Amino acid sequence: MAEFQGKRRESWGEYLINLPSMFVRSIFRHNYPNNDVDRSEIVFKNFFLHFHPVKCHKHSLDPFYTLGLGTITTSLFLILTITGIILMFYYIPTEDRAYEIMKDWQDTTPFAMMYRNMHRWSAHMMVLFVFLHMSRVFYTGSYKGMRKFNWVIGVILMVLTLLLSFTGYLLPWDQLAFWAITVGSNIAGYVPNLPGFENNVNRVMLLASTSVGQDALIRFYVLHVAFLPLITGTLIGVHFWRIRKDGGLSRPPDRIRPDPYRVVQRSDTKESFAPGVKRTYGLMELVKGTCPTVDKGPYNFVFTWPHLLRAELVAFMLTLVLVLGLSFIDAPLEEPADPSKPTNPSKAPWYFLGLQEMVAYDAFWGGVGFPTLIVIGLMLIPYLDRNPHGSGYWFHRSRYLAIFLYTAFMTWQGILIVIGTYFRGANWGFVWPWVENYARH
Amino acid sequence: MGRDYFQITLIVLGFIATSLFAVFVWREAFPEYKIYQKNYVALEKFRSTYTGEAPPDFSIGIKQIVILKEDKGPAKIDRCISCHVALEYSHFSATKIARDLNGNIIYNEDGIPKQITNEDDVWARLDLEILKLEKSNQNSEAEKLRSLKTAHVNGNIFDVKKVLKMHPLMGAETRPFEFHPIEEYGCTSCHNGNGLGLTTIKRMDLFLMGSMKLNLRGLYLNLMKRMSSMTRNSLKITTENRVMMYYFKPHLFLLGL
Repeated sequence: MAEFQGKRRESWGEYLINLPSMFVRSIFRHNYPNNDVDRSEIVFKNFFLHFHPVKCHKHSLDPFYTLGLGTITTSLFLILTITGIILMFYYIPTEDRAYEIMKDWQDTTPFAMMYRNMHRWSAHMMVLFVFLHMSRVFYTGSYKGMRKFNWVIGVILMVLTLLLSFTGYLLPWDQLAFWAITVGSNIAGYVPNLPGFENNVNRVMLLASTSVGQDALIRFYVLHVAFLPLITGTLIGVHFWRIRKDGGLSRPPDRIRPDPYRVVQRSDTKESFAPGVKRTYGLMELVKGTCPTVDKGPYNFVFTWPHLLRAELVAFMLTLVLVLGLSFIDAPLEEPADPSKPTNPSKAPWYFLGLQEMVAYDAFWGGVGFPTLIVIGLMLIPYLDRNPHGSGYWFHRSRYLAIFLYTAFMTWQGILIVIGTYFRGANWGFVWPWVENYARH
Repeated sequence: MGRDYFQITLIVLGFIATSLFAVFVWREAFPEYKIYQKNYVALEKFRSTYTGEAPPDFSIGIKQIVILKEDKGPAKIDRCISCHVALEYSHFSATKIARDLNGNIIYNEDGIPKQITNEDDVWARLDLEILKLEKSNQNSEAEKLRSLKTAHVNGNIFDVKKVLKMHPLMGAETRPFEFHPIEEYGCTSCHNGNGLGLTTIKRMDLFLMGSMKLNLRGLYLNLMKRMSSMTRNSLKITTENRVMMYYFKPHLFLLGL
């Protein structure tokens, strides 16, 4: 009686014929995704794609719902990582080399100015798009229900983005960088000092010294290129993972569940559960319902490959075009940093100018008190908002108060930033923006 | 059709991104200094047509003077000579040292060599040649030569005559850099500006604004005085002077000091 001996050894001929496909299959664990099984498998079995669901809801693909803001922010982070690594190959974080290296590099190395501009503009854009993404999530009420803590992670990511941008600001070591960081670290120094310390502990911890110098430069460098990107990257992963565990992006509940339609296998890309199944299914359970769905997918869900990935690619390309277009405006590199020649006005980076404007009224509350309250307040939003409705709708009518408060608050911050950027001159006095003396960021 | 919108958007975006990148490639492929270097090569070729001398060896690329610090620290680098490639050639000067019949230099009462018109000046010969060609109605040839006199850079028109010019003779010098060797001083130690830059905007904007000339007057006078006194006394330059002159301070000019 013949016993199964395992897989038969191939002949040389068979081996040679199968060799190419064996090699390809050893790399890719799926076939080319031109049918539904392989469309599932490519997402399921590919390391780089597996943080996507195999199928996603059609509503999540609506470009006018998400506006692609989260994907654009992620794309900016990717562009920043790539261009940042290129910059790292050249940069030397020392007082006497940093500025000269920047100047040397950007004028002589091919594409150096392009990479530097891309990095600079992506950083500014990322701050902007993190804020826009947060506003989208707020206005669509997407922080409700299971998603409460993901909003908190999002707020942490916003703070990390600001810190990343702020620490990177010092590295060119020109006057703009030097005095912007001096102002920024002074704002950090408005925290009440611990008793018994001569210099403000918070400020000294940030600068590793009492003033901006070599110690601050290496500290900011390590924070900028290693510590903060690592934390940010990890938290971005957590942010995505939670979206998946919460069942995809927020959306209004499907109102009607029409009778499931029978899906016909077609030769084009219309999806279906193919009749020529590659798997056998067992009976798992019996459920009560009005419409048994056999051979059908979930209503309104489409395959991630190609639909979601294509949408993400569009958002990435949009970002790339935006950043490349902006890169024709050269990133500034002013005179080398000179601690004995303070610029007047010395301005922090634009996203901190709201703070600096508030500091002009009250040092502690403007620089420390309010910002802390703002961050904590933002994190608490999902826990304070008792309204269970409106998740998945832009500007849901039941949320008029929340929407009004958020908009009023953000407008106030925006006005402060605009005043700080364009209407403040020497000694933080009022100037009109068309008078020469406004911030050069 | 509805489904194709994504594809069309992707194709359009890909096309835009590629063309934007192509502009950057274009910029890298045709940097400003290559315009002047190509003009220089063409001028040397033009000169060889009437002197019969072979054009000097020249390779297109970034040229730089590296000056090591006395003790330690990063070297100082001046790349001005990437565009100003003709600083040392007497045939790029409108004047030359006057000599008597025996070939001896004629000095004026201050001990400075007298200068007369240089008939070997490439620019003067170029103008003559253009006139000659225009008279004989060879306008395309004339236009070709005339185009060597100007450079179009980012919408600006620059006078190449000022770029490709011999360094003026300082004090008692009879050839450029005789008493202040360029490989020892570099450029920015006297002229300031950004020696690392390779474009007019990054390196020379102070010259264009006219602020640098004013600031340099003192430096020039000082240097000339020292040059003429050095010829009388000795050619030795003290280390202190050199170190002082290496000090790089473009910010003083930016702040208008």
